[in-house]
Amino acid sequence: MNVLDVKNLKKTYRSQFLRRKIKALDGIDFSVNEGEIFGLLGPNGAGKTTIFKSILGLIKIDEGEIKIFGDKIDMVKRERIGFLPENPYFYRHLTGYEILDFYSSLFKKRRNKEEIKKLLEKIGLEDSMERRIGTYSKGMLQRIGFAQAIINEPDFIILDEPMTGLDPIWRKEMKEWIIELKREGKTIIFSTHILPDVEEICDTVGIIYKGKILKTGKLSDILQYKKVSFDVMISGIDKKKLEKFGDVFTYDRFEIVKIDDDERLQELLKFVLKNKGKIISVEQRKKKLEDYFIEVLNEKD
Amino acid sequence: MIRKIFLIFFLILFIFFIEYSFERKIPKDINTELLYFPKGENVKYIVSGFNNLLADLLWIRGAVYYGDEKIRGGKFEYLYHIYDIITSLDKRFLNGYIFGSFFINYQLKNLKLAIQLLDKGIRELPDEWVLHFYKGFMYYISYDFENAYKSFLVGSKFEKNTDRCKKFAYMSLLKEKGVQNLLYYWKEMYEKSNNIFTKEIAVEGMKECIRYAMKKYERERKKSPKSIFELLKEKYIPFIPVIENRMIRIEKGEVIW
Amino acid sequence: MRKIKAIAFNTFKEGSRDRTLLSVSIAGIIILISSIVFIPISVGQGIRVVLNFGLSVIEILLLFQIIFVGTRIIYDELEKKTIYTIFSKPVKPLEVFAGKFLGLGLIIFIIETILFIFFFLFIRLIFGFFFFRIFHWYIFLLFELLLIESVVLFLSTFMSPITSGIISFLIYFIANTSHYIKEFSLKVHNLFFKIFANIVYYLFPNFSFTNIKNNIVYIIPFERELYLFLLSYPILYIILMLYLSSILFERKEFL
Repeated sequence: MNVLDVKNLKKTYRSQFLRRKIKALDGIDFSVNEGEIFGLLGPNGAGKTTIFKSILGLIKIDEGEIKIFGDKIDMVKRERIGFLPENPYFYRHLTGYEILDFYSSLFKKRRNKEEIKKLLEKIGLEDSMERRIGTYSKGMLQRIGFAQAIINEPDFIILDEPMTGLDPIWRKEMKEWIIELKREGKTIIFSTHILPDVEEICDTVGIIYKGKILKTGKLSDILQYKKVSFDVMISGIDKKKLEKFGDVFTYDRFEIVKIDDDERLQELLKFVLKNKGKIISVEQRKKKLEDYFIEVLNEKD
Repeated sequence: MIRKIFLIFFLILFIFFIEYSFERKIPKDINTELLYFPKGENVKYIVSGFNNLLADLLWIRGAVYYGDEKIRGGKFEYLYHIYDIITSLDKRFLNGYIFGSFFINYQLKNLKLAIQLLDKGIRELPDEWVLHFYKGFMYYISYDFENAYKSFLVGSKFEKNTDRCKKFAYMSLLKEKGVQNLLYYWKEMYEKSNNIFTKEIAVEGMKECIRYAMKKYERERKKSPKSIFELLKEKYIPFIPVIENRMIRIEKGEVIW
Repeated sequence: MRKIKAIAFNTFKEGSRDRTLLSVSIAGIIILISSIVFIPISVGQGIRVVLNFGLSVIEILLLFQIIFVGTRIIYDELEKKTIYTIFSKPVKPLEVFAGKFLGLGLIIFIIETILFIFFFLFIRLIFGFFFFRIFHWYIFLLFELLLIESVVLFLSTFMSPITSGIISFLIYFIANTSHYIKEFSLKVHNLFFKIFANIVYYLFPNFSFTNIKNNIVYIIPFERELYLFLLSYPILYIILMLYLSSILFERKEFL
């Protein structure tokens, strides 16, 4: 079952001064399956946040359809949704504990003191829970933001740039929390422009650019798309003789040949051995998501 | 850091010096802001619910104005204006009408304006007998016994009034003979009042009674009294007022205290 | 109700920890104490002056508090984007406005109580008697301020803090003077002015019935039916303002 279905989503803003029309979303189509982690990938200004706001009803859409759990969003559905906005900001005079207690009280099922403390422990803020939010660092705010997004044990969690402001240790923790949520059967969609994050944890990826979804698909399929390439380090053979196999780079005393297919690799190895050269190393280079991303954007241009 | 502190200190000193020198060079008419004060009725619309507070502030301003004018020997041009505004802002301010009329009659010697203020009070506070009393009183000390009698009579008809109105109505009927009894009233006013302005008016009132008695003596005896004791002996005054251990007396034809 | 209570309590905590509660109370107490200086110069009218001054100071301070805090309550939520974390939850705009209103109202209630109790004891200390009548004004003033608060919140949904602050002051001014305008219109033979005066009188808040300062200072009895008016007019007006605010907010886009 699809937790989220977005069809032909369109949204246009008017600029404040000249009242020019700005197309923020231009026919967005995608779905998120139950129990998967969906990564929404795109550069700044692509429309990621606008999509999330549209899903949550924080802005009105011009055209299209959004279904959550099979229907339009309403108060009942909001009980099952969690949201972490980009660069979250909270009431600076409340403590970490009070913030979570407050947000919890907005749901039917309110968390008790122990549960909130446990959640604060999980996000590493148990020592700071009596401190005012105004004294928190950016990373701490991000973590408390994540906590308020899951305070109601939602089935569907929307995270807008969840890794922002986190140091490498807490980035790793955040990814683990997301994976843990998936193991609990939750569905997560998060946006980012940091590709390695998507590569590590997502099941499905959607690439958005200038208000359009360019490509969606399973991550595993995307990374299988192109064949792998090889870097072969050779010594004892003249560079010019190797150029017929592929691009050749000189590194110290060695030549490195870049080869895109298996057949050519076999030919090169035979050639080196025949000409009494030495094969120092053969390295397989997997296709990175970054390469795919750039390719897709180039196609668009 | 010390240099910065010194610089700030000297700047403040310099600013103060400039203000001080200009203050001495350019005289300010301290009461000009009263010129721009519109009528009380109009001010009422602007102050939006804080009428009473503004009336009180003006009451204090009025006292300051009164004191200032006395010191510099001014003409009290804005006296009526101030009390008119005060009583327009706060129609229930009884003392605004009473004190205002006293000060106007005493300083401006303008009975008509004093009565005008009291009439305003009578219109706004028709249940207050004391305004009729003071209206009568203003007439009485100006020796307009007929109008005084009328006002006292009206005042005496109020249920809540004291016998004072009746007493003064009787004194008005006595006309000249009744004036000497005013001495008791002024003395009482002096003793009961706790502000210097009304005490001053009371003293002046007593002196005016003595002067009135002196003129009556001169008319009847064709000579001036040698001292206040003569007036007492001949029953032109009921007693000699002694205020703060000093007697009001007659010296070289003048009543002094 | 639970959500409204949570938002109200949240607003109260946030507002009171901002030191507003403490600083306004202290400022009020200092100003009330300073009214002593008027006694010797008020030419025998000391009690009157202190009473008028004290009641007016409390009213003005609280009005400033409502306007300066109230105009920012919703604006800050929008500016700092805390609104996203609220409206992504199962919370209706009316619940948010009701909660904000009650939270700020609680702050006003506490400051007013502190100042009135202090003023009551201050009068006892200086003049030697307990002036219980001021507590009538305490109740009437509270309702007036809550009504203005609802207007401030309403204006802040679609105006910047400065603009809504200025308009709020103007509306407060109109609330105290609209009955004069209406009275004036009876004397004028201009139909348009009469219609205008009536619109202003009935549309804007009307404090002609609730401003009983005069009655308090001059110990003039006032109709106890005014309490019935208090329980109806301001409450209905507040509900209307909050409802209008929530409708406007529903149509708003959180860009």
